[in-house]
Amino acid sequence: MTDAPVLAVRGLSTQFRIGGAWRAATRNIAFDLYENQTIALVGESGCGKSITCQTILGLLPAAVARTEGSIVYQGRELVGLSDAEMETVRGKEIAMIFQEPMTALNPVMTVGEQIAEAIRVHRRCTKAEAKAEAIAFMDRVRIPAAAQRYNDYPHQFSGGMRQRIVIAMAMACKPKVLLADEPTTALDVTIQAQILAELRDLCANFNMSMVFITHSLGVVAAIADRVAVMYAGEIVELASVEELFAAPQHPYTRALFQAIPRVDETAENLQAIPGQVPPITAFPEGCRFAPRCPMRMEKCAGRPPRLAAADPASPHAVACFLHHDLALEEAAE
Amino acid sequence: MARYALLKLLYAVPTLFAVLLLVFVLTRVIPGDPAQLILGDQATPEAIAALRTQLGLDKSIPLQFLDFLVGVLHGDFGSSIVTGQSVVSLAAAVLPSTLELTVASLVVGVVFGVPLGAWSAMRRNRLPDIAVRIGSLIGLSLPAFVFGILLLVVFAVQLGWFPVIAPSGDVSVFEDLRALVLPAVTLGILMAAYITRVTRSSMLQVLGEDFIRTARAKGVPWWRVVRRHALRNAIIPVVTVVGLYLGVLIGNSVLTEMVFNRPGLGKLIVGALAQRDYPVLQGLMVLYTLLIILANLITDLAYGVFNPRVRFA
Ligand SMILES: Nc1ncnc2c1ncn2[C@@H]1O[C@H](COP(=O)(O)OP(=O)(O)OP(=O)(O)O)[C@@H](O)[C@H]1O
Ligand SMILES: [Mg+2]
Repeated sequence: MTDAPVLAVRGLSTQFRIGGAWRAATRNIAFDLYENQTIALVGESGCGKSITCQTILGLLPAAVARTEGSIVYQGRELVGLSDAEMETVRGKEIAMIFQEPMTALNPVMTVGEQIAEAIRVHRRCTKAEAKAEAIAFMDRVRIPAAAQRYNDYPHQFSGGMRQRIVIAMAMACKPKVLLADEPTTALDVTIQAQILAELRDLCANFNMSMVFITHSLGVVAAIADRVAVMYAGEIVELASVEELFAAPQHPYTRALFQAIPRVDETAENLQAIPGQVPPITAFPEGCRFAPRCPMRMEKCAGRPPRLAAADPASPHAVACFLHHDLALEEAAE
Repeated sequence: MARYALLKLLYAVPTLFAVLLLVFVLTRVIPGDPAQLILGDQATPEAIAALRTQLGLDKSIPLQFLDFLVGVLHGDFGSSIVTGQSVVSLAAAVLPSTLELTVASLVVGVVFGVPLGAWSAMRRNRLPDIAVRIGSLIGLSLPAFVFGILLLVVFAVQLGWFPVIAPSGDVSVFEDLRALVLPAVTLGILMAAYITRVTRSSMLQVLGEDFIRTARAKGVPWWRVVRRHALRNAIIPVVTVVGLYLGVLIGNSVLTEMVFNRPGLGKLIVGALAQRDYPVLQGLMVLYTLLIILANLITDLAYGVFNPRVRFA
């Protein structure tokens, strides 16, 4: 870890205005993203993964959402930038791919125009140059007959092809960081594998770092260097892929592993995690996973555990009293 | 595209037949005998009977309908009982001024309605939005003749900026347009109020779509997201609604033409109604139907221009 991280997130909290009061959907999110690395955000639905990425890009409307904490991109603080300042960051420095390729593209604009637009908003160039470059990127993400398809509309493409268009659009300005929000969840398995392989290639070729959101630990193993496991708006475990897969520490992470369907196991062995992620208006005191935790202790209901390494020598951090006694200092509500 | 248009026209045939039947029945149901009306109270029964024969009113109702249908197919809508002029020539003389009024009010409606609706959506629940919503509600509930008379009194009578009565005969284009302003605004305000509401709700929906977020994530400036992404999508339902409303607009032109004393189909039809001029009434109603069918056809084609998903279907 000699280099400074490309993206350093500290104490990040996204709050929504619900019924007149501000409610924190995420709290104390912290991670570093280094050059050429991929960090995966894993967790069940509603854990705040998408919210975290959208907050990094400042995409949530100020009327309903506010941000606390710090997001430092290449030494520059992004929290508190004006929308106009963020526009120069979005797409050019940090780009994003969304979960749903069927609705992520503008239905009345040709796909080529949409890619070229990404180029033209950030760089002074002629229409023809932008077009040529857009076609090159369509080619790069393996869209057959890219030049002919430049003038086609999104509805003329399959889901997998649309996701490629979205990826081409995100890559168009060669961003340093790519936020990929479940880019393969809506696609079938073979297409998933292709897209993952392509994303990996692109990251390597363009020196890009990636924050990759997924539900699936299988996908994590295929793409990430490090993993942040999220539960109810918090990171509960943060480790390298190898460490996490070798020795998951948090009971929630272990439960996630037990919930992976595997071909060599019968369906009975598959354990869904009982209970549900609480809505952001009903987060429990103390450890938020405690009500669903099989190893719950008395003190879990008291102060929330802090994300910290059980072994000070290791970067493997976990927020659980089974592993250490560190509690979160009074969290600002 | 041409095939699509042709198909749409074919679909219109049954509609047209139904309208012809309805129009025919309606004009027979209106109380009062036209022959009696034309000849006046003092007419002898013989004279009335003779005129009824001449007008074909003594034939059985189904036969009269057949006459009417055959005529329509030949482009012959009969002649006015009152003046003897053919319905086609009567209508042709005033059609341009009605079309002119319709198009002008459509322009007023779009020019004011679309930007106001979009602005209102972007300032949702803030002062501009509330003002626009109240304004459009007033616009919708204001009767055309009240508003028209108001405009006339203020801008024509008091200020003298516009003529009180539309000049007739050969006038310069400028004079013609000047006379068009107040009627077009009267009719267009209603249209604008309507378009504002549709644009607003359509825009609100589009602004919440995923592709808007995608565009923002690319770093596209907000005003450009609105113009290039949101508005281009939000306009699609507006086109449909405007098309549907075009029929209402043509209907509303009747009142406006009366208030501003403009020549037009509306004035013609009211005159015919007062004089129980069956052929003129029948002919004009058929003409209205044709206009509305045509308006729908244009709407369908315009819809294809704005919506690529339809264009390729
Ligand atoms: N605009 C909003 N207002 C209020 N609450 C919101 C808003 N957007 C999201 N939330 C809440 O924030 C929480 C986190 O949502 P988020 O979309 O980040 O989940 P996620 O981890 O991405 O889930 P998924 O895997 O289903 O995409 C959810 O409980 C959600 O209901
Ligand atoms: Mg999500």
